[in-house]
Amino acid sequence: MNTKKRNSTSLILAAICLAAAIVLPLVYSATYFVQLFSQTLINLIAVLGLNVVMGMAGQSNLGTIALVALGSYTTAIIADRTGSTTIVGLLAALVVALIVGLMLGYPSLRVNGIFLSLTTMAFAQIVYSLANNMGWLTGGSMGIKGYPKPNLFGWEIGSQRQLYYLILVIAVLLVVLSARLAKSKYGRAMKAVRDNPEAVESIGLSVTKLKMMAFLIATVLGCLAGVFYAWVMQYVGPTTFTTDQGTKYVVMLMLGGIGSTAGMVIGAILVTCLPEILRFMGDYYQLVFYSITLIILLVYPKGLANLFMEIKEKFRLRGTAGAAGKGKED
Amino acid sequence: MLQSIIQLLVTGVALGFVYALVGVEYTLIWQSSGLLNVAHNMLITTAAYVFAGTFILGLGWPVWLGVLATLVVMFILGYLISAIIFNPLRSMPLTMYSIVGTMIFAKVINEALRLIYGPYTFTINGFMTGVIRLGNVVFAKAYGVIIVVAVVIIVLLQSFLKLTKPGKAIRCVSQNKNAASIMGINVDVSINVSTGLSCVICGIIGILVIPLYTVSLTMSNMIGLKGWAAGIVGGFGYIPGTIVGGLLIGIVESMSVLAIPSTYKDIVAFVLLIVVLLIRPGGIMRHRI
Repeated sequence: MNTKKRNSTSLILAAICLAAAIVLPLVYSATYFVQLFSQTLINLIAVLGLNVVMGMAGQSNLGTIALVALGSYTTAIIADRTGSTTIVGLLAALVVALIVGLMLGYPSLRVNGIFLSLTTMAFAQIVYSLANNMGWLTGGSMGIKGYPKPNLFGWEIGSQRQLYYLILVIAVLLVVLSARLAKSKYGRAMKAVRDNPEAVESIGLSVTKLKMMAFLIATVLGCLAGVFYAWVMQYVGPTTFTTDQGTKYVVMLMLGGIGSTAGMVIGAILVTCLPEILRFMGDYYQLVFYSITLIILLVYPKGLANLFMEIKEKFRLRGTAGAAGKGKED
Repeated sequence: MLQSIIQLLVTGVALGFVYALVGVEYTLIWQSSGLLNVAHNMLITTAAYVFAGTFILGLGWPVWLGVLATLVVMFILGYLISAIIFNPLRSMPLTMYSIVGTMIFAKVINEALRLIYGPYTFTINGFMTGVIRLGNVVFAKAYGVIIVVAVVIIVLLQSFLKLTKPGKAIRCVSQNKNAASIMGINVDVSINVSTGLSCVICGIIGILVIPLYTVSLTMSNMIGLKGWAAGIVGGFGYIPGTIVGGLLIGIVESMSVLAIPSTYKDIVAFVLLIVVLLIRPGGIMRHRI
């Protein structure tokens, strides 16, 4: 009885979120806001990937921003140079994602912990430097703009709102898949890799395959987010993809709740939309935001989603104890 | 040709010493508390801002007094940061949390600096400007000062760590915290002092690089990142190794303009980092952690 109630609470919350996501761009229909909502979804997709590799498999990956950059630039370059249909750009970005996934997964087999963090940081820096300097390919510090709008099998996606709903469909799909992955045998195996790699080997699972799988998922989702970014913004430039900007993905991961899919939704919404809501604080909002994030991290590093789940557990146990005493059904 | 090679070499050695000092300062924290201080680049920037903004341009103090005051401020800042923020971060269940914690802390410092000093870049006129001539070779005075100061600091630091009692206490703590506390060393104070020292070195780096990169919020991002490369290339967590790594990266990076277009100079350090990490994770000095 209690399990059913717990699941129904999550389902109700998810339904409310979905309803809000569908309705919001109709209420706040200015292009700026619709782009903001699209940006939230894009960040959500990227950070879902980060959650798989860092939250579930426990492998440090501080290079998410580089993955988004690679996806964006691949799409923009192909759209700009060939003017071809969007599908080609998307497929090319996926190929890039797979190659990069193998490239990033390989170090994780040899080094871990802080060294993997430094490697992925160096990787992100290399991607940024290349994007900024290889002017013949990437437009240098000016970036690429004015490439054709996304065009799926003849349906030209003209308005930001149509694009938003397209991305929403994919994002919802990925959220559901991510939640299913966490409960599936692969998800549990990845969490085992995070907690005790030797034990995983000892029962016959391949740590190599699991780590590679985690990295591939992370890179594919990151590059996909980049593709959508290029579609929404119609401009890609290196200033969006500095390692400094990359901090926000990790903040989303930690603040939202590491390892939890719901946490990723919370994190993406908080980090992308809160600055807009906090605009009344003027110049101080970033300082306030990061200070509060730091305090939350120091006090409860597992993040808000896990905090809510723990609070819910405590109330449920308290309710059960009370029910046992009073003979009430919980 | 030879002249330009010597000039590139001097630049490389000077920058190499900067990377080496960056490596030394985070290695101090890493050795004593096991924490990777990703916020070190913001601490270097803070020192530059405090020195240039408050003491020199704000209050108009002479350079030597500004330097002294900045270093005192950095030590106190380091001590407080270690006690208040790094202390809880050290005892986190996963190293990932502490790294992310320092990343967020770096953002906090970034915003605080931006609010206090404004988003404009500035520089100090006539500070370490000018050139030095040795025969046919001409190089900026700043590079000469960097090399001399760096060597002095490294010698002082190694003597402090090896010859004085507080220094030996810091080394004891980095080897084995429990044994150190059994021997009567106050581990927490020692770690705070190490962090304070690390911040003092950050302060020196910040002051030294003002003529190279004008005082701005992003001035130390590159040297902070290359400092990681210095540690990995030379031997992570090992001070002599970090110095060797820094010098190597500085020289290779500077000489690389002879072979590849100079726009790609920045990538050299990071490619070296990844290559060394995959082939020889102990670094050049083969130091096992």
